[in-house]
Amino acid sequence: MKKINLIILFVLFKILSAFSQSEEDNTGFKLKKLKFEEATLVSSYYTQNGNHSAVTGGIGTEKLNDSSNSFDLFFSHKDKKNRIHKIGIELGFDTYSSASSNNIDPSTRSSASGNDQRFYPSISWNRSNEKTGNSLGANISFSKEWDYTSFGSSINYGKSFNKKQTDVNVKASVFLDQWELIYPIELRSSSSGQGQFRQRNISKPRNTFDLTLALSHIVNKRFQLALIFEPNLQKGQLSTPYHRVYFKDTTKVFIENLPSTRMKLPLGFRANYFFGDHLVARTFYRFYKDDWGLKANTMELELAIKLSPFLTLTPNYRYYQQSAIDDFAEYKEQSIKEEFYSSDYDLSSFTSQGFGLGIKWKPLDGVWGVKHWDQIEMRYLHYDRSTDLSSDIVSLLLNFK
Amino acid sequence: MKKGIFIVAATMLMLSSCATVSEYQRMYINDSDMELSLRTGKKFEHAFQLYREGAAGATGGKSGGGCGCN
Repeated sequence: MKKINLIILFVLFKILSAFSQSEEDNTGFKLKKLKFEEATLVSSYYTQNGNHSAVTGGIGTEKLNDSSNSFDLFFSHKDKKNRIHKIGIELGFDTYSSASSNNIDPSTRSSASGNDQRFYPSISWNRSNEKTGNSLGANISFSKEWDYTSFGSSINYGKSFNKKQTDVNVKASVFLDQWELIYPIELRSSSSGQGQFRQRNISKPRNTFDLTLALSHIVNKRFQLALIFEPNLQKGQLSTPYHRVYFKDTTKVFIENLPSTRMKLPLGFRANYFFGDHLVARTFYRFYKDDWGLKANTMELELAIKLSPFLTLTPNYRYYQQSAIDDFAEYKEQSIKEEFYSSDYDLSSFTSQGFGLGIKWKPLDGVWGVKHWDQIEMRYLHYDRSTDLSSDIVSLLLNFK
Repeated sequence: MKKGIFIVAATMLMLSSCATVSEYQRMYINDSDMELSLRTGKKFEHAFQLYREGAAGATGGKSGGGCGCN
């Protein structure tokens, strides 16, 4: 009995000592702290006009205004193995008004389509090891607008080698989206509706699978370049449900019908060169083709002219050319016998040019003397498309550190 | 296809450069205007191009998906 009591007392003593705390705690436990790195606010105002709206079958106004805002926060933390963890939080909010979307139901001022908002938050995490040159990251995102909901995620892996002169990055992304099918009003009404387009609350999936392979290399002290290959597969509801199509051999109105899969193969090339002490040339070229028959070339040139160590001007030019998809035709040019058809001028044959100018101010003691206000940048771009669409966009960036 | 092969070949040729650039020699390379990714300030310029053009991707930015864009 005495032995049992001693054993019980011993066990009780060990349990109590496990929860006790000595005056000097040498466990090495430290509360993890996230260090604030930077915050960025980007706002833009976009306005466009044209006369080939897909909502009205390739004719009609394309007038649209859009206000976009994005707020990004970045934090970092160094772990016991000296790896740097970076966490990014993005909150995006857009609001737009569109004269063409209003024509989904032209007899009324349709509130859901003519004016809309989009909300899109996302969180990202990245861990990099300076010693080994490895990095690993992940991202989740959400987007919601009046007829479209999206859930997205991605993972990425990177490796530096060749004395950190060469970087390889691989990223796999997936977007699992739902598109609510809102048809043109005349196809929805019970008296004139064409059966399958009668008003029903139906959503269809629209999924995107993306793989990015990027290779970057420092060629010499002033020159570096990157090659990006990004195959992309889309499946599901790829036709826009409120895009009308008018045929040459019938008076009936139909909606756009495109294949339910699309394989895209873009290949991009960036090269940046620092001339002297005051001029950086940033160039970009992309070749694109997909299995809808579209081929495109994109060329961009931007100059960063450093007027002083704190003030930079960025004039830029962009040229874009694309061929039409196989199933595109203009208003009343297509036959009802075709399997697939669209009058969306975004998928037609055209060229476009963009002329822009930006100014960036990054003073040493903060913008207008405000200590943590690191940078302010304004950009303007005018865009002209050969299909009589033109647009203007003004952007403002504020950066805090 | 031929353009793609040309781009890859030109890149491989440039990658074969033997010049070693040490960390302390990278003052031009590390300049913010030399970054090889899409500029943050161009975010929404790039976004409207996803809606108004048929091509997307390989820019270092958003590539489609997550929106009713191309």
